[in-house]
Amino acid sequence: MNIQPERLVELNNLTIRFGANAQSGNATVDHVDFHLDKGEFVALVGESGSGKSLLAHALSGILSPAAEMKSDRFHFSGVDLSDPKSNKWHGIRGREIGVVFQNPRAALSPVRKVGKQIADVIAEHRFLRKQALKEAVLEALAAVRIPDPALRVDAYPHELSGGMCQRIMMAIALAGDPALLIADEATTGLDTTTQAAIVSLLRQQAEARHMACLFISHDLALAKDFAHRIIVMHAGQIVEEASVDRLFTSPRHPYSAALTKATPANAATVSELSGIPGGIPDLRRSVPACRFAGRCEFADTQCWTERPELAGPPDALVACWRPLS
Amino acid sequence: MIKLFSSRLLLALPNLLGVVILIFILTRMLPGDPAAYFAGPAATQKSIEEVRKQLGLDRSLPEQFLTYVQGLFSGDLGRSLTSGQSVLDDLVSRVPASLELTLLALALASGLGILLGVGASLRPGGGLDRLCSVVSILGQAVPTFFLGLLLVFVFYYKLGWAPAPLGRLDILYSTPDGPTGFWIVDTLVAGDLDTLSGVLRQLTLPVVTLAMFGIGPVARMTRASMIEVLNSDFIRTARAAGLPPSKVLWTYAFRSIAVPVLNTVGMVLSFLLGANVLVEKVFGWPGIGAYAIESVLASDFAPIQGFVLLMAFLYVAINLAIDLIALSLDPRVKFDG
Amino acid sequence: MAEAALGLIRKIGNLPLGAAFSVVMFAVLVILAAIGPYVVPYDPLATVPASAMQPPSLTHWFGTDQLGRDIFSRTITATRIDLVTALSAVLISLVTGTTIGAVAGWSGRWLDAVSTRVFDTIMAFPLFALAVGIAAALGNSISSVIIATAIVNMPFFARQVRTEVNRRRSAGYVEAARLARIPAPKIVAFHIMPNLVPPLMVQSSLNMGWAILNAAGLSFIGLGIQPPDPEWGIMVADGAAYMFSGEWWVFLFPGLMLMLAVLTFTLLGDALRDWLDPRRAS
Ligand SMILES: Nc1ncnc2c1ncn2[C@@H]1O[C@H](COP(=O)(O)OP(=O)(O)OP(=O)(O)O)[C@@H](O)[C@H]1O
Ligand SMILES: [Mg+2]
Repeated sequence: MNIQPERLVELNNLTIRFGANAQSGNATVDHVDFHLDKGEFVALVGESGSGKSLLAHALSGILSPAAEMKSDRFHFSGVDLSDPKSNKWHGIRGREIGVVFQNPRAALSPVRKVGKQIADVIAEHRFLRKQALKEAVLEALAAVRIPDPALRVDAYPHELSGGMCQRIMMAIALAGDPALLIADEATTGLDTTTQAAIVSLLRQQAEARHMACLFISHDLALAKDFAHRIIVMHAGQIVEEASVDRLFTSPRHPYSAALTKATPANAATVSELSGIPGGIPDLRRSVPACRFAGRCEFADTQCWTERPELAGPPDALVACWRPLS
Repeated sequence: MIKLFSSRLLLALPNLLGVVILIFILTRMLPGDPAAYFAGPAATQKSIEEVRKQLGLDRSLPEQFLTYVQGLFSGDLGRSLTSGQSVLDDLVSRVPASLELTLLALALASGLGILLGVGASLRPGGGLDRLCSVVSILGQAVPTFFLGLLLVFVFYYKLGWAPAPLGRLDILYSTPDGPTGFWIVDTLVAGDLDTLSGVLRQLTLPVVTLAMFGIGPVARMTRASMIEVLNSDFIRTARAAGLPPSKVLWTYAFRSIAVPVLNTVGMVLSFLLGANVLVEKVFGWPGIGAYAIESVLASDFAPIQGFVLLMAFLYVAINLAIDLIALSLDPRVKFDG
Repeated sequence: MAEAALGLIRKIGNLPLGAAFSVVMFAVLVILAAIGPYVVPYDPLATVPASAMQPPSLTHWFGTDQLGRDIFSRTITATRIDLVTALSAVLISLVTGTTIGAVAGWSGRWLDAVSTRVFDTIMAFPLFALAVGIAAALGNSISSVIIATAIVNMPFFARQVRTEVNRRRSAGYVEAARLARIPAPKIVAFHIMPNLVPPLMVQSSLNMGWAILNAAGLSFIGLGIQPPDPEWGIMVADGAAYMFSGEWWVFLFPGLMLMLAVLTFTLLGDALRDWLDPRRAS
């Protein structure tokens, strides 16, 4: 098979700024390039606060009005979405792009039956009514492997387990039969068995529907299992982007290296990392051009003054002046 | 449902009992001789003694209390000296007038308050938000009766848009004769649209006056809860799922704060029931508030006692209704004894 | 002296609009209550049939009523009686409410349960209706209006004090005082209460507003202060009848004054709250 994959998302030079950082002038998400092919599975990893969710929100058109977003180009299936207020988002948000969030119980309305919440979305995107809608809801529940769908439609989120709520949210995300599914830490907070079940469900559904998938996680092991390509973010910048194999066997950015080497199993949850000194720089103050410079043992003056561009062969891009070889 | 209802009723009983005890104490606190008081200003020594026996005032306090409660249970609220009627009958014939006014005002206040609060929450610091604070400050500061008079002056005397503030219906119309005593309902049932318009015209100013005091609290509660909920995870989910903004706003955001708003509406209703007394006086409204005022001025205590008891009863009934509505609105609400 | 006054004016000028207004108006009200009756241009009770029902003019700023009394003088003179009535009621509810709340909050158990229940009942009751009932039962006099107003306002103080005392009962410094065998009333009075002064000030100011409204409402329907004494509620009630013949000034000015007074205390309460607890300021 040698078919040229088709581009789904093309996002160039994304910056997201907040008023809170106006004094330092730092963008919270800084010069980020992102692209995704149809049917491709990509993982996005990085410490808490590195801007993963912001990127996900920008991609799904739900950035808060407090965020000021700019990009040179933002195309989705050839549609220009660079203006978050553009009415082209109508028909894309929720229909072409579905999102699964973390903390599923809080992410569902507490006062609406889960069946109704799914029905709302199906009705909006597939224009079904009455009996057809009911059947579609039951199908959607069955698709995310909820036992006894007919019983669960009338349940409220507080009556269901966390894993069950996550499946409901997946049903909502899948309701429009999207071309892109974004899972923003969709398994965080669930117990290990449930995590595995959710991830395998995610993969199975995405494969069955030929969806592209952006998998955001703290858990490198999960990311490694799931994705073809991994993007590593640090303090709002992409530091490395490589195929799973290359990233785990020969990471080139000191940050990724620390991430992947943190445990014998070559995989750790980012939050547990102790190998990397310091924390994410405070964007309200002035920060080095390479925002990792302050924590990097190889950093020199160039790292502090000049921002490294993401460069290299397509399966091993790195943004670093002193990459590991 | 019935089980919940009765358990809620049981919970409400202590409150009702509390009010009954309070009123009992009040009647025994009457300055001077309660028997003389109840017998009225024109009573002779002999009739006072008779009343004393009749009221059981010659017996011990606990005994008196028991008889008193027994009397209440059999619907005996005493007799009005001014009208000569049984207080219960008087109250029953007047309560629809008061309720029609109060409930309409409540509906108006809740509707406007919710719209204003939701609007303010969408843009905190914006124009609607400022209007929201002004309305709630003025609602706290303007005396009910003064606002009523101002409205009458402007809309009746100056502009001539409103009818004279002389009760429920202009004498041109014949009094609706329906089963409910709510004249809007009665005229609708009878299909008498002409009289209905007369009823509505008469209701407008008192309803607006009363409603002005309910808008503020409802709007403030709605605004605060909406601001919180609009930042919540499930609203983000609904947005990301591509639901239209109006659906996100009402079906998701507002629906989830309906219970705190409803509780505020209950509080406002309690307030309006009290303020109603003043509005009835201003607009010559023949309700229980006006009845209470007449009785107060005539030192006729039985009707006042009946009035306060009725208020207590209404308040318990209304809170019961609100709890039940809350239960149907929010599956998380549970009755914890 | 002039400098101090200027400094004060500048300080007030820097306040938010509502707060500045309330501070200035509060001062005006207090001054009027103190010296108003001595400086008004006319005797508030003197009837001059010859000059009855005159519209506002340079001689009678607010016009005259049906008996030729000067409405400006009456409105100003009424400040004292209205404020004193409300203040008495608030002081009574402050003292009794605080005492009951402190005892309930400290002792806990059934006393707490019962008093909480009672206050919940009172607070949820249509308050003005309750006030009418109480005032009627106590007889038609100023003191019964004061007591009725005090009773309906008391739960607000009791509730707040109860919660705070209960919360601080197990605080470290209270435990220490207890170990030092300081008697409970002393602990409450000298160790806990000082913390409650700011919130109680806020509550008192808000309650002043409600108390003025409540008392004026009661006198509007004929309870309490009796004519011919000038009082805002009565004056509005009196003037209402003449509105229909176009003599609007009789009810308007006392009503506006009443509104202004309530507004002052409501805004003052808000301003105090923002000042004492800047985090809550919006
Ligand atoms: N409204 C806002 N104002 C200012 N800064 C914000 C705002 N919202 C988010 N941020 C900043 O954006 C940064 C990135 O946040 P984001 O939620 O994208 O991180 P994340 O990588 O998803 O972290 P986590 O793993 O905890 O989910 C954070 O440092 C946060 O401080
Ligand atoms: Mg995140």
